[in-house]
Amino acid sequence: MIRQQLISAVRPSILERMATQTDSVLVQRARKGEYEAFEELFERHRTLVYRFAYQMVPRRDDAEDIVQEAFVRAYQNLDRYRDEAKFTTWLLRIVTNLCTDQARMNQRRHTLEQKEANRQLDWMTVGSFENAQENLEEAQRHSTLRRALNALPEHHRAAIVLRDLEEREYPEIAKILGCTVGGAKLRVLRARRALKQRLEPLLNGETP
Amino acid sequence: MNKKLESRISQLVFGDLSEREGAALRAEIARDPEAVRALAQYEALRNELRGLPIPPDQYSKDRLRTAILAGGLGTRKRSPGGWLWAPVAVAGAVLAGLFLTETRPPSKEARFVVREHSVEVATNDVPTPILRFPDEGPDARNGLRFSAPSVELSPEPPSSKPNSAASARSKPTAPRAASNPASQAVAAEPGAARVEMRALAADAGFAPAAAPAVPSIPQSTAVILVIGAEQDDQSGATIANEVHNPTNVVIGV
Repeated sequence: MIRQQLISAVRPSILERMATQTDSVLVQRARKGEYEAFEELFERHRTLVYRFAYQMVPRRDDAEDIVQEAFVRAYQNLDRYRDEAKFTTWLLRIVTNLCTDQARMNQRRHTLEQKEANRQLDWMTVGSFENAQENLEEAQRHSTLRRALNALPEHHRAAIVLRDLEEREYPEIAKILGCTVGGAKLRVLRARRALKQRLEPLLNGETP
Repeated sequence: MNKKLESRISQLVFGDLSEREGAALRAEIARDPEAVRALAQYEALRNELRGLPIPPDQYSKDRLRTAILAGGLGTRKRSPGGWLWAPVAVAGAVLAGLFLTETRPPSKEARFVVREHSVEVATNDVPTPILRFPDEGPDARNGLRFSAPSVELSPEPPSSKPNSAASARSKPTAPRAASNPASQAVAAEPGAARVEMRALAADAGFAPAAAPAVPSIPQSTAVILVIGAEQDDQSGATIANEVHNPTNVVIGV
């Protein structure tokens, strides 16, 4: 009984301490060899990294490989991380580089697979709607949008994903992409315009 | 519709403009049907993008831990100072090179030296080559030139056979040899293959005792021909002509 009370009293304080610790504190602890601190960083940011990776390389297994490689590289290079930038900014920069490499490698493979399957792979997504017609239309729209997004150059795709999907601020986008803030804004504008041109039929309500 | 207006419409739709800027732009868009259409397209694009499904990942901590273990435990350790050592190492290498260049002993290999005027050089290291024809008589001594200390090449006693042939070729250098009374070169006797080299050590201030020991040269019985190049009168081609065939030639080095 006393043991249970002690556990109930101690556990919230540990959880609170973990929750209030900033990323930089966790990084410092991880540098000193506390792997639990790095696992806490992983738990905090795995969704962010996975979402970004999935938007850049729309295959779940590829995205998961990128998540793994990004955190492995982050762990191996923790001593290079400078506290001036946010940990997520530094992490997303690693992910961006990995995604760019992966996207280039996958471009040719994906095209060949699509041709081989005669584009039947696009219709294999299972929707959440009960109405089959809606499911089909929804899946078709998503597929069209995904194809248009993938057809953009990597630097345009990364700009759109960071700004319009992940809603990052321009200074952070500039740091992640390694350009100026003005350059990041210009890149986002051009990427939106290019994406809109590719999706004209879809955006006008026509069936893709 | 120009690109600038289109860019501002996209900024409006994706929330990059302030409320005041947005209101002014909406008023401007309302007067342009093409801009209204672009606004609708960008709004549809925004909704489509935000509605893109993302399947949940199936990644786990265990997989990450395995991957990190496979890549090696611990972070990479770098030397303190990092790249600061690089310029220090380069500077050290340059200084070491300069030091070795300055302190290196002079090379003993022969070098060509170009001078505008003739200079007499005396050395006690290596005797200059001497070619003597013992049968050319005692006048040949006038043709000898020495710039090395005295070196006796052979301990053999001189023979009594006198030199008979006078050397006309040695005449051009006679004044120079005669002008130096310190020259004590002695013509070798015929068949004895002996030569004494006496340097003009007095001029150069060298002591004969400081000269290095030179091994004696064994006598050779081979015939040595001295061949000169001449031009054929008929054909104009260069031909070899025997100039001299002494039986006793000593080449001293």
